[in-house]
Amino acid sequence: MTISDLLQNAAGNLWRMKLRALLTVSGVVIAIAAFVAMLSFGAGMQETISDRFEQLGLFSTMYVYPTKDGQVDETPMGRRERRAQKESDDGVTKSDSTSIDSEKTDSSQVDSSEVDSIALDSLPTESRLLDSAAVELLGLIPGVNLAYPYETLDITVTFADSTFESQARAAPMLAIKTKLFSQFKAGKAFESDSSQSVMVTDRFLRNAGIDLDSSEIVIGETIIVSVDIISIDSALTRALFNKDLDSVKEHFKDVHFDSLLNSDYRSRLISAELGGAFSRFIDGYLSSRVQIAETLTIVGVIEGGMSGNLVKPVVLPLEIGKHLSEAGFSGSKQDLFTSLASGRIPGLGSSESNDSSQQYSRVTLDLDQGTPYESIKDSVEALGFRTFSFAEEFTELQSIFLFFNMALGMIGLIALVTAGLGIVNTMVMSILERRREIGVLKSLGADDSDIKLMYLFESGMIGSVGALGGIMVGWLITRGASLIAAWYMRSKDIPEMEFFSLPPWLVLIAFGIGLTISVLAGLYPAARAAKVDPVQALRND
Amino acid sequence: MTDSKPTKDSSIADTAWIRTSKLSRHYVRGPQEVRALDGVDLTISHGEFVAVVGSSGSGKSTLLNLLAGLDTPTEGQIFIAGEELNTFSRKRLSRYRAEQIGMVFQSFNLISHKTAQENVETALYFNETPKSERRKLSREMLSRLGLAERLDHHPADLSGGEQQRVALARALVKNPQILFADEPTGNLDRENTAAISAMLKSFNQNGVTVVMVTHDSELANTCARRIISMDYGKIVTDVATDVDAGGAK
Ligand SMILES: Nc1ncnc2c1ncn2[C@@H]1O[C@H](COP(=O)(O)OP(=O)(O)OP(=O)(O)O)[C@@H](O)[C@H]1O
Ligand SMILES: [Mg+2]
Repeated sequence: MTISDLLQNAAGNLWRMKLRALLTVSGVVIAIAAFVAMLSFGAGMQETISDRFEQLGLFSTMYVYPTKDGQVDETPMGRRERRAQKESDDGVTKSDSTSIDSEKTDSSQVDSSEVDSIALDSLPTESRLLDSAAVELLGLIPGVNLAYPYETLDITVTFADSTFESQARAAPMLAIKTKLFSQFKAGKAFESDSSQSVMVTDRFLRNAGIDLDSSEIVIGETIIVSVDIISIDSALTRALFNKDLDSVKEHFKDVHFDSLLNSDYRSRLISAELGGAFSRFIDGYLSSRVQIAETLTIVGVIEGGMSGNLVKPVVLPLEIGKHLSEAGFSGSKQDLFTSLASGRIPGLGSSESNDSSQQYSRVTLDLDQGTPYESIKDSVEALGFRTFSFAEEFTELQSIFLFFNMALGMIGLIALVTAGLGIVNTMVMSILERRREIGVLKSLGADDSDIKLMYLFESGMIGSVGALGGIMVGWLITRGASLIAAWYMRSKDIPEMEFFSLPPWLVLIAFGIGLTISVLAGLYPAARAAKVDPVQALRND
Repeated sequence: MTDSKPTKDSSIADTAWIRTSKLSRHYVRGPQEVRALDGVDLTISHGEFVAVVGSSGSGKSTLLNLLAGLDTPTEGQIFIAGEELNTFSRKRLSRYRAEQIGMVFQSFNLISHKTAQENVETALYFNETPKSERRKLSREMLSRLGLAERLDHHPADLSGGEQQRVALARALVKNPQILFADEPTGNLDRENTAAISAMLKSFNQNGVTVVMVTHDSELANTCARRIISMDYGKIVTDVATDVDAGGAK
């Protein structure tokens, strides 16, 4: 028998028992539809996230951090290690240990919200300071399009009668041109590094209570960005530092700066072991704050990405950012510590601290399109830094998705097994009915293998038709669900997103699985059909 | 009726014959052993028309099924055209049925959901006849048996005689060397019996060896040149009739 004979025969037989075939096929349709709809959901989520990553240029964005060595490990684990080491190293006094106890309690309250705990576990080969020389070096790595510091300013924003706390980030013009800053909702990028303008994100609008759909209205509006800076008597600090620089540095190594924010601990610490000058310094450092402000014009509204968490709400031109940050120390405690540990007091005036000595807690790399993150990561780590890349995260995410999809697929497979049992039932029934026919075919010269093939084609056809139908029904279900979801998101004013996707591989897999299950289901009936004894089957009744 | 040309096997005249040696088929049912066929030695030459008669249960059908390779003997051997059937592989045995023999049954055994023509075509599925050829050959054969107007009728729409003619067409369309007929007229009236027997005779005269089981001694006498009668699984008599030999020598 030729394949076309077998196909024709199978189609004819199924057509003859329409109702039964239809019911059996329906089982497969339902199972495949469930399978397709579920995996379509997984694929859709994956695709949406991937698209989003791509759109925001995250696949070509990498962050570089300094390594732990010679630096402060802000993780709780790191603190505990340091403390244990300190106790064993220099035989702590009684007064010391009390202060340390209070440090312990304090540090649990003042937790490092500023710290990016991601990628802290990657181990460096050597350590190096993340200064402007390093930024330059990073920019030279092949495949790196641009390297620029990532600095965050805690700012106070005054905009249209309201004043609120926010965060700002300064970025050079070259960076502004990367995808990360180019998802415009309204307006455009600022003209130069020194223009008195600013870009804000959708998150900013939300904070300011402005409807996202009317982003245009803020273009051209004026915004006042101000920072609280630390203003201390520079002469005093300089004197203090010159006098006994090393001993102060020693103290800084042992003291946890988060804890300094607790005035109780601070006073105890100071009274316990430090002199009056240092006490004044610390007090001045943390207490006397001065505000400086810039009046800027909003030129663009961009998407913050990842529900507004990727880009800080306010994006400043580089020079404006510098002006605000170099007026005095305003940054995070981590930055403060970074500087102090290296023997530098931030905010002592830009005259003293030129660019080369400035250190960054994070540098952003914009990678060339299509450059694999692994190679860049290796190069950066060879320079002694740690990296974080979204592409790497995404690779991990994908394996999570794989499990997610497998779990969804399993549910579909259970339905398919049930459908398969339906096929077995139908086929066994039809063999009982067609016993005589099988006998006739054998008397006409059909081999056991011919009979087997005939039945396998029949069950395979049930599976294929069911799979095709199931793929279509599954697709319709996802379209329906998608419409409902879109309607819901619109009504709730949530940005719309697509939850489902039916990529070709999913169609192929669904069809393949439908066919495989049905052929497997046909194996037993087919073997049984081939075993029919023609003598018995053809006997006159 | 036109000539039936044995196109498939030119050696048919020399080799087509049937021989059995101590052929036995026993059925064991619990403590009892039914000797459906019990040591049958039989030789049939090419072109013969043999009728097998005997009472019910004497083993006629068992003999026929063994010769057709549908059943396997408990003991003994079957030689068809010099080849021993027992030594055939399952596949080779299927090919033997597909190419060398045709079978007709008392209850016609047509496939009820297929038309007359489709039923006949089915016989050509298993001997690698191309599709277009299948259609042509089955039409020709049905026309030859007087069913040109009945090609698209289903068995249920045909009379018993017509159905048996379709069955006959199906058995003969592949141009077999041997035709096994198990009471082909058992369900037919006198008129149809005559028609079928005439056809069998005609095909026999064109070179097909015919082995026909029948209860009808009159039919046996009118068409067969040789009558074998059986009882309790054994051949009791084997006689030639005076029917004029018209087949191959
Ligand atoms: N599968 C079987 N199991 C047990 N006994 C069987 C089986 N098939 C046939 N027989 C027995 O073998 C014997 C011969 O049967 P067979 O069908 O050959 O008879 P027959 O001569 O064709 O009879 P009829 O004229 O009624 O068709 C019978 O006694 C029958 O009961
Ligand atoms: Mg019988």
